[in-house]
Amino acid sequence: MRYSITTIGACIGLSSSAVLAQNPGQNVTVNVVVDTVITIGDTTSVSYHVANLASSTEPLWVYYVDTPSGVRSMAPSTGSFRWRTGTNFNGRPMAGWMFLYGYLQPGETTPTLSFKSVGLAAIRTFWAGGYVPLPSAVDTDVTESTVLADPFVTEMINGQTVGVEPWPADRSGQALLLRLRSLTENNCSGPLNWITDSSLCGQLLNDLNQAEIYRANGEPEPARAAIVDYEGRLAGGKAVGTVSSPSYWLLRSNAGIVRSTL
Amino acid sequence: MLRIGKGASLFWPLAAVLACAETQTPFEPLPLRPPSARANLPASASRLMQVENESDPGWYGPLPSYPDALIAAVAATGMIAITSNHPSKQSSKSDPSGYWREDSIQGCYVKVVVTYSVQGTPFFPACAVSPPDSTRTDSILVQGDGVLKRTGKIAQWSYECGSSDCWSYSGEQTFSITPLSAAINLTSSRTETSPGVIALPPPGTWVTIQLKATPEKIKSHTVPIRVISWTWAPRPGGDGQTVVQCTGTKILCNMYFTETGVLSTTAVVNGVEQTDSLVVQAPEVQITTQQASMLPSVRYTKISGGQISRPSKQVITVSVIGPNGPTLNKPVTLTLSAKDGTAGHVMHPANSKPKGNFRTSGTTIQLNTGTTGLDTVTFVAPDPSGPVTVTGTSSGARTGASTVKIEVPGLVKLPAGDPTYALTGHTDIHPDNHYVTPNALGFLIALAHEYSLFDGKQLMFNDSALESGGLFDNVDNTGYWTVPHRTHRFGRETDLKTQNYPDPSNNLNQDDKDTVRWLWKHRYKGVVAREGDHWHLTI
Repeated sequence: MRYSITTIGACIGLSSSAVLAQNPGQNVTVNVVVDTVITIGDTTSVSYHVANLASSTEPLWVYYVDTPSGVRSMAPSTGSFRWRTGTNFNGRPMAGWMFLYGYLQPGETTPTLSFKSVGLAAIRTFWAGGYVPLPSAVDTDVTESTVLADPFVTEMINGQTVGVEPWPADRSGQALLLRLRSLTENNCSGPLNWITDSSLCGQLLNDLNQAEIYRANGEPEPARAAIVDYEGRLAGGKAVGTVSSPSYWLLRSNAGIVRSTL
Repeated sequence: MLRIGKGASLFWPLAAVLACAETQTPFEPLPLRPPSARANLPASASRLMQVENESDPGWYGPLPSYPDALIAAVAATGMIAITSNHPSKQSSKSDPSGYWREDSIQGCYVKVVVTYSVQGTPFFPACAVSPPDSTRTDSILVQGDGVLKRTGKIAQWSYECGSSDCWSYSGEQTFSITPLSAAINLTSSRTETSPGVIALPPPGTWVTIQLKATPEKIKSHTVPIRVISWTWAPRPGGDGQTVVQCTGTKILCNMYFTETGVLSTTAVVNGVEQTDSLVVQAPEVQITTQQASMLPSVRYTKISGGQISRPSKQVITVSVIGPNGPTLNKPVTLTLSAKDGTAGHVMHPANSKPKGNFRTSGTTIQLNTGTTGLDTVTFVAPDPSGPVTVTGTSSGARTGASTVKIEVPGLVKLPAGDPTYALTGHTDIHPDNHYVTPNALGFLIALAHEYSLFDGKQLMFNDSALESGGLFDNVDNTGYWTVPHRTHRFGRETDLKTQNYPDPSNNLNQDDKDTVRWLWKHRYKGVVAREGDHWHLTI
């Protein structure tokens, strides 16, 4: 089943629109909607819907998410919209989807694309490339020293989404709280601006301050309660559209990990 | 004195001139014998000959042994006092030549005598010199085990002095023996152009070789020579037709030289083993390349028009080396030649292989060594790979040549027999068409393996590059040495069949094509392009 976009919501791909109408493959604008982020044990699974916006002039052919700790598994296609998956590209670990014939036409959205990786949710780079017919050979003047162009640079757009990064060396409650605070600040400011309500941002950061104070005082229960408040505010923001899907899943996932360590 | 390699220093002046050459010496020095060990230098000795018994001056002792004949300097010093108890004889002194009794008992007594077991020329004449001299010297020829002695007391009649000795003796003498030095000297009937070097004689000329010593004689003695061995070492590349009669223990012999090289002999000269050499040299064209291997040139007309032109060049240095070094103002003709059947090009028309050119055109060029003794020219490699030989000719000089390997180094053959891919496209004129860089090899195999994992299909690779890269010509019989394959020169490009597989189920459908394209471009960072009925993969 193909998905058409009904609401733009947080259009993650907009940050990539600056390179629209550049090289072949770069004439796409995408919206990456994060469906879920779930961490069980040391492994985090992330699932998306990727929308090729109607403004694109090329069907979407490939979608990649940087996954520095490697990909543990990827869900295969099961429906009529088919893809192939790969986990390593040009020596770099990534979760990669190549959409087969038909591709993802402008105005359509993929079914759920998901992968698992050892680590915790983080802000990572995605790449999206449009499909263009294979060019005919023209004067490919290659010598023994010619450096070929990197298609991730010349034939794709890129942006930020939720991915997985390796666990930090310091997994203490204090370190993870600091990390969550940094993520929250990034979500509340440019260039991401994944949370658009500044007063909500203040409340979220206040919750984290409270949690840190209680943690430092050796009072885990009120510290955990502050994180619960934090999670509740995220859900409220998501419901009213001031917290985007990637922001919600990124922060909620990390907040859950923090809460379990306090 | 040990002399080795008289001709070795000849090569340094030009070597300095050609110091810019990177990978080759300007020319190879002629092979020279390594210095031989100076074995068993003959010993010198000195002896103190004291009179220990006043009634008998006799003395006896050994001298050094000399297995080979040699000439040695000997010296005896000192006088023996002879005190007379005789009623009619006076006391006197005897020098090393001895005391002469000139009356009813004639004879020479108290005389220093040297004897050697094999041969030994007499020491100074016995009692022959008058007046007495406290130092007697001589040069003598000796061989074998030596003995030094002083003869005994003066003979007397029993009635002369009753029962007493007529004379008593006292004093001492010293004796020394020192082998003299003589050097080996290999000579010939030809004039030496420099010490130890002769020019290659014209055909039909025999050369008389004689081994001598310097000096040849000491006093009246000919310096002894015993030949141990002869060696003729022709320079690499010689014709091997030299007639060698200097063999065994000959001292005088003949040689008929047809090539340059070094004649060496080792002999014991005046007791010392020594080696000498005679260099036979001829003027020869020397060709020095900067690089023994170079990339092929790349020149073709682009599909979109315009020219690609990347000539591969290097500078070649030419000189004519004579016995006295580089020859000035000498005209030299350089000619290029390419070897058929090389670098993966077989069954092409004979003698049609491109050879490259000098400067901008031409496969023959006239040069002149000028006032510096050398000339240079830029060589531009051909597009096809394979060895190209630069041959230099000059009047009166031996022809010189140097071969440059035109190649893309390091290409490896894509192995056959892998179930995930097949190889095709080989022809009678290009039987091996799947040479690639090691990097490309890995990615092509990985592509086939990963591709097969999706649907179990097999890929089929057509032309990559030839074994040494360079122009891949005459595909589809479009003409020898022409460029249907503009590229495919560096082992980074391989054609992939997309249709017309022997097993049609392996033909690439759209999903397959997208998969190959995806893997090659994104997974391996390669380039894919359509080209007629196949794809062109670059990595």
